[in-house]
Amino acid sequence: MKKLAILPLIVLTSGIFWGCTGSLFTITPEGDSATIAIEQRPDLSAKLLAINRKDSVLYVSASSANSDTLAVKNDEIIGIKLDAIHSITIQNYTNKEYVMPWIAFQAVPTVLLVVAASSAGVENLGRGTVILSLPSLFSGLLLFASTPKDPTITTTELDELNKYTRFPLGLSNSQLQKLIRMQDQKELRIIGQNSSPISQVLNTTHN
Amino acid sequence: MIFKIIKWNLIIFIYALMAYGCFPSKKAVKVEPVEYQTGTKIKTPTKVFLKDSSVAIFNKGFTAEDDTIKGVGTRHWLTYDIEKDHLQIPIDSIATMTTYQRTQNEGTILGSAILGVTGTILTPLSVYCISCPKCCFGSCPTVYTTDGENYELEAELFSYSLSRFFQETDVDRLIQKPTKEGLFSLRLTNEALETHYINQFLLQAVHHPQNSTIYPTADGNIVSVGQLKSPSSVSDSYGRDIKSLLSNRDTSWFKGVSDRFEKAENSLSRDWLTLTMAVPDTADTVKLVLKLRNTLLSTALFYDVVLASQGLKALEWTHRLNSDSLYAALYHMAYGSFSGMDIKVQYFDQQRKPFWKQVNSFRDVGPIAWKELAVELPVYRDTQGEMSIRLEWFPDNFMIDFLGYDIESNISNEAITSEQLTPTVVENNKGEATPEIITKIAAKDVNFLITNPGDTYYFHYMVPTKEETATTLLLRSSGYYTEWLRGSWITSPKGEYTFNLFEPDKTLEKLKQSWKDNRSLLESTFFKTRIPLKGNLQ
Repeated sequence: MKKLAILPLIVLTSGIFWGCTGSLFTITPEGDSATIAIEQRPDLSAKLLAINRKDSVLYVSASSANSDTLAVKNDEIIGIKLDAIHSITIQNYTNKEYVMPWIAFQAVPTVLLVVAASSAGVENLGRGTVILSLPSLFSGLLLFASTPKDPTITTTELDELNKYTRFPLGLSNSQLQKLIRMQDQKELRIIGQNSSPISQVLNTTHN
Repeated sequence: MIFKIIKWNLIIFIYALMAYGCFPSKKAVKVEPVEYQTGTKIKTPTKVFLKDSSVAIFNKGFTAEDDTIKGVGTRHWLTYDIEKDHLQIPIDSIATMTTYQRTQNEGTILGSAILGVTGTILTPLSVYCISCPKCCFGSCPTVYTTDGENYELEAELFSYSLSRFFQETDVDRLIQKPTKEGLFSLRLTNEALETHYINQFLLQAVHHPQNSTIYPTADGNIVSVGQLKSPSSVSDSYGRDIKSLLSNRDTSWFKGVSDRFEKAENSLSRDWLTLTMAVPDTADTVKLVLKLRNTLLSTALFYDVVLASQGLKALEWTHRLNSDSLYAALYHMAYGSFSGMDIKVQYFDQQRKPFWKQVNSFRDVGPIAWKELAVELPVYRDTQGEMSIRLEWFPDNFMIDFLGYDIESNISNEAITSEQLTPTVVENNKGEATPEIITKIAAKDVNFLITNPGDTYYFHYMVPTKEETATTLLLRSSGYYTEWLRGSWITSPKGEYTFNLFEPDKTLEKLKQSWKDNRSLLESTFFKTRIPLKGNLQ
């Protein structure tokens, strides 16, 4: 029986530490996802493809999440002038998998305890709530504050940015055209030209 | 104790170990392939960019051998992919590589460990408390006294009075003293999902010689004792010496012998302590003082076995317990076999064969507050001039923190005076004066102060002092309480067992199962949730 009694503990502990090793470490061949802060425009979510140093353009494959904000289609390949980019935050480097166990095993139990205390007519519930919340607050704050943040890069750090692209060696014209054709695009839009309010349509032959 | 410390340290260590490496973030590090020597094994996920613009993925790392890297992986070109068990890439075809390293700091390790340890405690605790709030947050009328700043728990009243037919006088000795000016305040509260019917609630000031201490007895009287001594021996039911455990009022106490409960065959099964002490020829009584408290066994019996097993019918059963005096008496008798502590003295028959004779008893005192009780016992010496006393109780039902005896002091009853104190002010929790309740609690009569969950009253007294005497405050109470029906009792699936007063064997069987399954949880949740509340009371 004693052995059986430890089973719920094992299940509970497994639940708490479920996924704690992180699913971040399954890598894919695609470029990293990033949130690109563009001057005077809404942020853009996209996968990083390559940097064209000659023309100072960053090629990305846009995410569907932005389809409304910048009128780009899902997986549309676009170029963004480096001058127009304020910063690039690479996604999925911060492990936020502690959030669910924290909610399930700390926040919710704390709320349940406060509800139970309230229904039992406990006085000074405010103070009790504060005391009951301390472990949750402490662990939550520690995990939130000490978890490394997703790397944020500016366009002056091109070598650093290159690590996160699909084509760190750059894209040749033929490769770029092939990519664009694969997406059934007829043109490549460049966002952030100084004189253009939002984009400039170029021929698909782009160096 | 040492084993417990080791056990807890081990658990924390295991959690810390589990937390170490938990919730890691990652960091991309650019590396050059030439950095690897033959035989080097890289275990971190790696992305290899080749000069032909393809990319190879080694999710489980790779091994460097001569001029190639090898491993299980996939390779991707613009238009097609391949997957191989043994992907082999010449180093000179590699343009650059990125490895993905785990990053973690002390903060995430500590945060994960706290999440693991407190989550394991909080989660079952919350499930238990939400299904039985009373088990976590209170039971019976509770009394708090104040030192002028904080209110601290001092007593729980008539915890055995589950029915109006069970009302008996309960006397608690209060540790808190009045201020120099004689001011004394206490708080009476209902912290449970119960209705409390308080018939009598009196503060009694007992003036006595300064070299004596006043203790209540189980039958509501008082006993004055002098310097307390430890018995010459105290042994548990397996004959093990536990004298040092019970020599002081401290944070370690005797919880009974662990396997006695499992071995209990019926409600008459007992755990026990045996005390021996030398008694002079001139002594004819010995005064024994115990500091004791109930475990939560009686709570488990009443909630899990008696009430919860009946579901909705628990309501009807509670009504019957308060209206059918015959049934109440039968229940009292059955409950009595599981509760209370018998006090026995060893006698010898004509053949000098020893036997134990019950000379007194204590009722259950409740699981929340420690209670100190005294009992006067007749002296019966053996041939060595020693006396043996045995304390017996249903296994797992009591915890004893301290015991001592006094055989020498001879304080005259005339040196002891007592007076009943009337509160100068009574207020409810809103600070409103409620003088009308004074008459309700003044005497054991038909008038009751009825309280519901959350109700609180503050009583303020002026305690008279007498020169050259000490004053001990006692709280004299009587009443009863009725349980509110809990949602979980109605909705929880019922097994084959339903409480039946006339099936004590099945009751014991169910109690054993319930106690075995829930004891640790019940004890940890009950006390962990109460401790913070004590210091918070204002």
